[in-house]
Amino acid sequence: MLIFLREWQPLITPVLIFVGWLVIRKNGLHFAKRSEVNGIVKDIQLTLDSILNECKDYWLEDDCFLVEQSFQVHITQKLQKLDEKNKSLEAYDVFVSTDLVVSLRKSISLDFKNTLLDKQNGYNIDTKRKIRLQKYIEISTSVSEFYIHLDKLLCDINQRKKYNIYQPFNGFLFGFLIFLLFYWLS
Amino acid sequence: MIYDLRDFSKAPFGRYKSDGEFSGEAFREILANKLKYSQEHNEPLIIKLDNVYGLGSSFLEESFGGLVRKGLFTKEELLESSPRLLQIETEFDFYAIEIESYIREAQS
Repeated sequence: MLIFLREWQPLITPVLIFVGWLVIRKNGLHFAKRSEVNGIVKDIQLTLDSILNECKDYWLEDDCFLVEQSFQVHITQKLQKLDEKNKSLEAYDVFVSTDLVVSLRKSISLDFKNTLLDKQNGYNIDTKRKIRLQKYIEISTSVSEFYIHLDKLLCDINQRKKYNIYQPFNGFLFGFLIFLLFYWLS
Repeated sequence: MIYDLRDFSKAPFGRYKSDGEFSGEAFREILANKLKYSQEHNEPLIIKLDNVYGLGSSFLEESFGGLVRKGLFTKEELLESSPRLLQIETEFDFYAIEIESYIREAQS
């Protein structure tokens, strides 16, 4: 083995350099991909935050029912942005469930407004405020579920098994083998 | 047959006619006529959704879910016929999924 290695040393050195370059390249790509996915997920989280803020402004303001159509246009535009971002993630083999967007849309529904405005219900102002707060909590829960799903996805991405060459023990083993090879050659 | 929602309104809004002229209830009447025509001619009705400003869930529920709830069509007629009678064309998948869920959840 040692004689073989010494005989082939002129070839082995460039091969080792090439392998080293491949490892560094793969490493670089892996980290770039991870940071791109993290960036897109961050964008999704910001969009979710702005959806929640918009809902807060709508449901918790006293004159909230005056601006419903513009609210709907804003929210739709943001949900569509969310869907675009989800599709961007698919290019990285990360799939956000569309059911979460549907469930978020359903919780944001303005249907509830009719119940509050219906005079036959006879709600007083305090009850109406409580109901609106309840609605906001429902939306907030839906956003939280989205967040939890994203966190799980991120966790999965950042610890994917196929990249386990970068796990501490495997990295150490890989380095040690290279060291042994160089030691034999020298 | 293809029907662009934009031909109904650029800004559809609300569930009932009392919410405005371009509500889900008003759209359902147009939709039901178009579907009847498509059914008679055994061809799908393709609804394009992408060219409007804002599509609320109540609008979608009343127009599409309402078709079943009001007894105008059955879920099977809309979703399981061959060719499928009601088809949704949109860049955003969640609209199609949401509409299908409203039709399936609707009780006639």
